[in-house]
Amino acid sequence: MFINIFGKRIRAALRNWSTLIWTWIFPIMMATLFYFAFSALDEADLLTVIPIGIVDNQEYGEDTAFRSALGSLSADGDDKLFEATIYPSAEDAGKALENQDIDGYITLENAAPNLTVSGSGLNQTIIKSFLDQYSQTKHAITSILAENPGAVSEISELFNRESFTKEISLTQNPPSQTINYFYALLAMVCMYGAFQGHESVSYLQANLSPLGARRTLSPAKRLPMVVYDLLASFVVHVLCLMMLVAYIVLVLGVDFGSNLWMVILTCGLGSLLGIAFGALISAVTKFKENIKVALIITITMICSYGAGLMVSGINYTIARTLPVLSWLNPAARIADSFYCLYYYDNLSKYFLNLGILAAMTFTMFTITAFFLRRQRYESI
Amino acid sequence: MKVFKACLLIMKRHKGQILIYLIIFMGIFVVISAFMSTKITPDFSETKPEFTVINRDKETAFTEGLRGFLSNHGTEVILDDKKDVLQDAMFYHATEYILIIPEGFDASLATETPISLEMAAVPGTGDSYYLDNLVNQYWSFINTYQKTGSQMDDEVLVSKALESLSLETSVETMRFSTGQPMDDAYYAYNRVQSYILLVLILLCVSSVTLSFKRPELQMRNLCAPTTVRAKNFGQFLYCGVVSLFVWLLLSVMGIILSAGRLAGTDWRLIGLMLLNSFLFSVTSLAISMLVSHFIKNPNTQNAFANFLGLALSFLGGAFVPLEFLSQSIQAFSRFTPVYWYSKAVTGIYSLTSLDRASLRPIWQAFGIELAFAAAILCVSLALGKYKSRAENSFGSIRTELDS
Repeated sequence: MFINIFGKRIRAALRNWSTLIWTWIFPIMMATLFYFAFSALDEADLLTVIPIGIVDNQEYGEDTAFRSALGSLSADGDDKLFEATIYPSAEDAGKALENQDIDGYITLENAAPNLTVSGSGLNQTIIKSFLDQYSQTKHAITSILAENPGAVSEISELFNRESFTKEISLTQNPPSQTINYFYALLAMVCMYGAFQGHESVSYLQANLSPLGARRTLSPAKRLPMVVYDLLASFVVHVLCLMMLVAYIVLVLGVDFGSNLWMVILTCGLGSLLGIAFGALISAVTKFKENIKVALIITITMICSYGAGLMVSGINYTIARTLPVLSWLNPAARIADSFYCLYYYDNLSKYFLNLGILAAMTFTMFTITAFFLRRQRYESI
Repeated sequence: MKVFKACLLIMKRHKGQILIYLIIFMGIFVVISAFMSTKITPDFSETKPEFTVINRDKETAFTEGLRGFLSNHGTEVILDDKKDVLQDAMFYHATEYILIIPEGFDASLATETPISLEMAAVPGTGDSYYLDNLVNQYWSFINTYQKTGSQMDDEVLVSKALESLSLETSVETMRFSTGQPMDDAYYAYNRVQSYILLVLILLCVSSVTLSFKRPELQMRNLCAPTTVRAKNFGQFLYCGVVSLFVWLLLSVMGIILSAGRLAGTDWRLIGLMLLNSFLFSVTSLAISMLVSHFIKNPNTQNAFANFLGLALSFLGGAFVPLEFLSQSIQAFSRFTPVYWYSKAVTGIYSLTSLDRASLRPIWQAFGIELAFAAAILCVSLALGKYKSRAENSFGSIRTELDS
């Protein structure tokens, strides 16, 4: 009986094109689009050489200290911060600013630098910070020498730019803005297991499909029938997830950390949760088929949104502000499990996530079982 | 007009799925705009990146001074001194720079080799460079004042250093346009609008063509006392009207949702945005008419709409700005209409003047959008002509003569 039910359910699942498109082809397309669209996202925050302009007036020509400070940051090399262009007049520099050739231009007037920009941003802030430091250092030197004229050697330290900090790394793997999109996508596909769970229950319940009615009359025990059916759904969905993980890891080269077995374990438990969720929706609600599918999609999309599928970092914001909601969101738990495997050194939070997922799955299966057992129909 | 009315009737029966798309899109936009609700000021304002100071030593005048100084130039995020909390905050960019003052730091200041401060940041970012520079600037001043100002209290020393550090350069903001800059959320809405425009127009058009393509209906229509020209005109009219309606609906919604923040914006920029989305809705209409030839049943209709909409939008820079796409993807996406739509949206958003030279790239993008529409429409008409030939149009019909 096992081979009969299990085999036929697998064949039925593989022949359902609509489900296959949404659970197999759609995620692969999304992963590919994520890969191409987010390929340069991590580089967007990197510091680049800032184009600036300097108005070549008399004060600029005479202020050797300023020219030296600017020269040290515009010289070719690893520490180059500015790409400085000298303009003969403020009008020319203004034109370059309008054409967005430069982020701002500096004019030395009344022994102080002035900055002209066309908008706000980090580049403009860094230019201003450089000018602030120049004026502050000048002020400090004047102030120190006024009180202590003999301190000429000590004030040279102000120009040394000694580093007082040393960089440390919090984790082995670097933070990435793109990786969570892939984790949230996998979480969404895990929850799409609900389509398989829903189909299984529809094929088992007499009031949901003609096939269900026929199977209810068959001389087979109910429990093995349900278990074999759901097992086949699980196998088909895990197969789909394995294919997706293989594509993401091997073709797109997304990092899931070193422990691939744990990734497979998470996918398995995530699939089981998705199937339990679909079975629950199908067994408990009395809606029409398309309403049930719409309900599954809507809940999955809301959960996936909370896991960071559309806005990266929203899962973190929810976890900080509404922690209970975050813990109860199965998609967030699945995505967080992948994140733990990639980012954390110890796996205690990972296993906590798996525990929560297992508890959710068990609860949903228990409620489904309660609705599936000993049903009698007055009319179908 | 009978065909046109029939088209509207079919559309009315499919309004549920259109509404679902609209509600989801609006919901997502409202959430996104809430994240982007930055206050627009015409003058320059410093970018204030997020930082965290973890003090594992005692609180002193120096550390308090440091916090105060950094808070003037950044936004402090208070976090617990737990490894996973700091790791999470760094990963999700809740903080860009974590400064750790190690135990014994204050005592070591008096020695020849003071303990270094520890900092964690995403390597190489502009934010981390800026904040690290500020930290070093502060300690460099403290260090120099300590060495030069003998017998000075720590509080006095810090106040002297902060006095020097409070000097700021005057910044003049040059405005090249008359109005205030366009609202970021309205700009984001217009970028993402290409996806929803394409999906909605595709669904509206394909729902009708799918119904008219049913062989029994097609045969009945051929028997009807209506000319093919009148039938085609009715369908074209419906496609045009529904596209116009979708464009109008989304444009009005965009303006309503951003109403409070568009008050000072130059109305000509908003006009250009509307013209751009209108031209894209014409392109979307042409794409929909072409794609409708390949949609065989309602099950594939949504898949087609989403696959095409998402693929074109991702590659065209609707979801992720074009500058974040790699050079090879940008080169490829030039062959998609969404690329030119997004380019026009970004161009209008960053317009500083409305002279001929500044507007040239915008008009160029508009022209290319229209060229896409014309080319795709021609292919669609040619394909329609081919498919309407007797041997193709009833491909799914089997008669006793076939066997």
